[in-house]
Amino acid sequence: MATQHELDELQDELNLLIISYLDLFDEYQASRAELSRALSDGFFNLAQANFNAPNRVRYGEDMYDNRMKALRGVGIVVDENDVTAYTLKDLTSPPEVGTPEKADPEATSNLDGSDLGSDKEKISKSADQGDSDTPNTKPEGSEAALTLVNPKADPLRWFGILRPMALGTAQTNFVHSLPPIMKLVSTLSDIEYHEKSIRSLRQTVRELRKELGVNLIDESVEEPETIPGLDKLSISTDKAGDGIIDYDRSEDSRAAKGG
Amino acid sequence: MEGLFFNIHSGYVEGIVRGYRNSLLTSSNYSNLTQCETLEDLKLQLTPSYGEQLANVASPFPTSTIAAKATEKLVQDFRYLRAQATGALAKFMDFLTYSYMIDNVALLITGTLHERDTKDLLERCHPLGFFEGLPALCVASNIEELYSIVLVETPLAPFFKDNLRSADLDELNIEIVRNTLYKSYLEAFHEFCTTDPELSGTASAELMSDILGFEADRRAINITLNSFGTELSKSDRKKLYPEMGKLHPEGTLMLSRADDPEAVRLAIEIVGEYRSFFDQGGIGQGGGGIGGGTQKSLEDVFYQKEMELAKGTFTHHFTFAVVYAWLKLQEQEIRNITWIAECIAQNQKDRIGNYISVF
Amino acid sequence: MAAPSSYKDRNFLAVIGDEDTVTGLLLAGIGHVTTGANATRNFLVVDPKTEIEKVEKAFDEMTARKDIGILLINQHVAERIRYKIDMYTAAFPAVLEIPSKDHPYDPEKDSVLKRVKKLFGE
Repeated sequence: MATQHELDELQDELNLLIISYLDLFDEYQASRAELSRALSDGFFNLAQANFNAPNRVRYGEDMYDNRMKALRGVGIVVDENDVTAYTLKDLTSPPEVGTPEKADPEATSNLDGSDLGSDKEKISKSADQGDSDTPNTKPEGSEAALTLVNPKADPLRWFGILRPMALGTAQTNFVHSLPPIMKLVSTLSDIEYHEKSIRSLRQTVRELRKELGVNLIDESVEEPETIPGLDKLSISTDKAGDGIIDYDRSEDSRAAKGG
Repeated sequence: MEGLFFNIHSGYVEGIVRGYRNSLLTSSNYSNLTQCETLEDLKLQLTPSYGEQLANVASPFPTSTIAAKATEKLVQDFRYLRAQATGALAKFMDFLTYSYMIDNVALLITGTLHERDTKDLLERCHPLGFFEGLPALCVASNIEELYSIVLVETPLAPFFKDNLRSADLDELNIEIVRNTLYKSYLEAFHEFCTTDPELSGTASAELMSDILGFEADRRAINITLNSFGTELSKSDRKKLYPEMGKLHPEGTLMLSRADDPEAVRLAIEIVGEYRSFFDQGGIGQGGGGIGGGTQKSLEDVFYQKEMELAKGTFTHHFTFAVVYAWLKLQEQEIRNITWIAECIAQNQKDRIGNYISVF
Repeated sequence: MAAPSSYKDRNFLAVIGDEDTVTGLLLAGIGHVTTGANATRNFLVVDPKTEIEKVEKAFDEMTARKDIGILLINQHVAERIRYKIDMYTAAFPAVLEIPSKDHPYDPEKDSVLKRVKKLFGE
């Protein structure tokens, strides 16, 4: 036999789910902004490189190398709720010995953008050390998937050895676009899970309320559609065109604003 | 005295080239272009110059289409001139095409290395750099064959000399091949301009000597700046500097030892007139990243100077140099328009003014 | 719950986009061409002249592959095959629309953001 107390608990649980769901949208927006920034910087530097090109070349499809092999990829982990986490993975490192099922801890540790050196710098260091075929030793921790170990595999080489610095900068920008991509798809999976849970929990709440014979206009029970703060939620257009929606949640100072 | 006889053979060509020069975009034209909000607007604004080529371009179009169409016009104009040219002028204009041939050969060699279908790449070759043996390069299925065909059957054969080995072609060696070819080409062109009986002692010889000398210097500087942090060794780098120009030999010696932009600056400063470039240009690479407003990089400053030299040739009559100058100015115009188009397409108006304009 | 076998080999990203987008992502090291006679690519360069069938075919092939974890596609290209993308329901690979250099991210076209409205019946 259902009780009011149970109903209240479920209602609380629902509220928490909804808040967490809305937080995910903040994260989604933030990742979208980060992705937009990285890509637009990359495109602009690519244009700059083309303007500065020493040889009338255009840095594009003509120079792609058909021998290319992926250096960076994705690692996928699915938890018991079917929520999928995507992480950036260094595909040049040797396969894990002994633990093929677990996600590689080094490659999936937090990808701290501030540790990034440009690929060009990393390459010059290895080149100076005189090894042209460096063994695949992994750099530690957060840099694992964002630095290249083997300079000969660097796609930058397809475009010539003597190339404008802007091309290298563009490469760094595009590499920086990968972590937000990972974040976006992971967040999307989480969002889907939340939606499923919210819908099913709402259903349960409705049934419970029916069972308790709750009067629908009884104000002591809140409708899930009037969560405090939700009425202040307004999604307007992205006027500035910078990938950020003007997203107003007054109780949340982390609202995605600015750019 | 050459003025007396120049017009008999080359007067018409000079006249046409001056016409071409007069339809190059001016600062105020460029200013109008930068005001465009969309690529459609830009296309409209370019109608006086490239109307015929752009007429059938359907929207939306990628920014690269503009360069492609403008190049079509350049090729058309050049071919018309070439058809009228005789004697030393014809040979002079052939020399102009060799630099495009070098580009095409480099493209095809790179394509072979990258295991691309070279028949596709043939379409991407610059039309002015076409020569009879070029399609034959595509028959080659590996670097060895490519190399032996190129050596024998092309106008570029004299530029290969003996410093190129066919073994182990990779990106580094291709870059060395390309730049070595270009160095030989510049030196041969310079030799032609100063020693050919029709040209020796004329204004053409003097002007071309200056212009080619400056280009040699500019290349040496660019090669040096772009080589930092790459696997191009200093000794290899040194071999790529043309043996001409004001920086040769002391400046190029210093450049060959340079490790950073500061050392490049010191090398350049030994030439008096280049010293002032540093007041205008920042040190180091242009466009290394977003920001920096409209500060001109060292490379931009040198490009600017090269364009001014080109513009200056038109104050002389009866010289072949105007053909060379027009070609360079036209190419820069195409680069400028492409840059402006990119800034419009990407909505990045801050640096839209970074083109190089001398009219 | 999804079986590990359905996703553990999905190590590649793939991209369908305009030339600069593909160039950029290839520079970032995600490009892969398989060796052998029928080499397959995990990228497709699309320009305004590219036929829709070619784009659809690439989308089908890339989503059918077992080694791709994420398929990236320019938002403006996705528009051309919107019906296909809307009908796409597989868990893997994930499909993500990304901006191009001349079509910045448009939240109005982002179906993800419409989901909040759907959920709260606005």
